[in-house]
Amino acid sequence: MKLLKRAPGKWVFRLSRRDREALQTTLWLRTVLARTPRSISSDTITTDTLRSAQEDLDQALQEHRQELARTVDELLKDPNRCAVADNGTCDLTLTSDDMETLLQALNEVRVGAWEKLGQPNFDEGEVPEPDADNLHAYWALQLTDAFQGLLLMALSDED
Amino acid sequence: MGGSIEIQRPQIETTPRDKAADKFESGYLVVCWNDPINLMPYVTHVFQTVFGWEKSKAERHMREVHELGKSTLVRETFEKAEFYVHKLQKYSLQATLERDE
Repeated sequence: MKLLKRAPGKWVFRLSRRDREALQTTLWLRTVLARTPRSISSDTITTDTLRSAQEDLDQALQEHRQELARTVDELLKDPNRCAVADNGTCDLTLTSDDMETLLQALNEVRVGAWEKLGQPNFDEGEVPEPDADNLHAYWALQLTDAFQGLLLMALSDED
Repeated sequence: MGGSIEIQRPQIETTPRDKAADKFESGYLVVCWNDPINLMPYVTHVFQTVFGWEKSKAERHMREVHELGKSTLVRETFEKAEFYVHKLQKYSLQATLERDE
């Protein structure tokens, strides 16, 4: 995947057939990498206000994940934004909103993969043994690293 | 015009502070915690996007998260703090709101 063109608020990336398949599979992994529920506060939730806020957060995240899945699906199936040539390459045209959507979707996979591995701190040498059950999580970490890195670099060039 | 006018003042009822009032005070901190899997440029980007910060400020907070395990991002009312926590969590950052004691 490489950046082909850039205009203010708009980017065009060229993806080879393998890039496209890798991106689609990476994003699909959201469906198999369950996320750990997140807390609204590090305090023990004892008040009605916090209890209600926790429920709101749970619901907002659930709706957001559904919306992300729908948006990403539409993006990759839209021939005007993801034009696939006969040889399988694809020119992916992204707006600023699309960039944010893809970054969020990829990080959803990334954090899900990390949770699947038991939340290791790789910087401190914690590396769980790869096995048949977690290999897809390692794969997801590698791929999200590459795709997020590229999107962030493209965004950073705009600063 | 010599007569005096009696002014009736409205009765002001005072009630004890309630929980609702608390929600409108800027007494809540938005804290971001370190998940050592998030890419550093990603965290910086999210802070810039969510808070509209300059890159240097976003990077300073990103480094705090990375090196100290957490960073206090803003102090806000309950509702605004909750709004920011939602925004950050939608980027899969571990953010919470804390009462500033």
